[in-house]
Amino acid sequence: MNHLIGLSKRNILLINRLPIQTTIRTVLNNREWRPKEDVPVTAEDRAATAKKYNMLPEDYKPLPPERNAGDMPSVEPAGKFFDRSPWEDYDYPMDRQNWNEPRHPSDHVKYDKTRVGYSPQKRPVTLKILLRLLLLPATFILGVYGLRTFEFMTPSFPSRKPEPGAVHYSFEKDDGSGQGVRY
Amino acid sequence: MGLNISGTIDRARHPEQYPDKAKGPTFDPMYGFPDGRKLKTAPYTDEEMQILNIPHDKRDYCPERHAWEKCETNNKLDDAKEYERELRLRQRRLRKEEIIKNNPIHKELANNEE
Repeated sequence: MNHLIGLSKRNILLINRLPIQTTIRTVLNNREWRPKEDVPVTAEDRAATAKKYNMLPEDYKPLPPERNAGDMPSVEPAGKFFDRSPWEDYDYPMDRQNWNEPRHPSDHVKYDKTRVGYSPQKRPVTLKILLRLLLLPATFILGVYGLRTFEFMTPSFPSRKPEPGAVHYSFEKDDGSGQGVRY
Repeated sequence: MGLNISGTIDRARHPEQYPDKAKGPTFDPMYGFPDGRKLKTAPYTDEEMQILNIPHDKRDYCPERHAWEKCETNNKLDDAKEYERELRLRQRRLRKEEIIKNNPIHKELANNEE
């Protein structure tokens, strides 16, 4: 229905609020929009493909040939959602992406904004991880030994064993009546 | 739980009012029992317990296998009663000392026990 109104592709997406993932899928499903099979060599071709992918000509770099990707540029994985500044004017402010921006293939999964950001560069040091792991048991153990000085109530003496020198009495009367205690 | 917490705080602030679990009963066992008290008998002596290979935890006054639970509960009740007796006697002694301090006339209360 949208083509009847005469809207452009960009406006269609913005109005329908299509997420950016579906744009990638639709691009690759459409045979006309697939990358070419030959890697461009001459300067003109490279400039043309850079324009196609909405990149500057000096930024365009094809992937290595064993990937068998053809035209597709090797895009660095986009910065994570929280690495991009929130003050820019994005086309998709919730994703912090722009329309027709060259993206890495795993962007929508690996660098999703709901994922925890532990890249190898930003991963905390092993010692920090270990300290975080030991925090809970350490507090528990210190708490137990610290609180042992406060004998919480069991208002009774420790059980008495038959030692050789000690004499222990029960609460029963000694005159054979069996009274004095009611178990 | 509230009684637990308030009890521990009180025990920390006034330790002389409460019995010492490590020491055990300090008063005379027969004090306050005109008809006496029965002795607790250990059914086996030390050598017999060693021969029977009873584990060290269970070498107490209750070695019977079939009546063990009941004997155990009774012993625990006895321990609790001893604790309570000790507690009450201690508080009684402290109260007497308070009275003597305030009224020197009542000195005969001081030598009433032990």
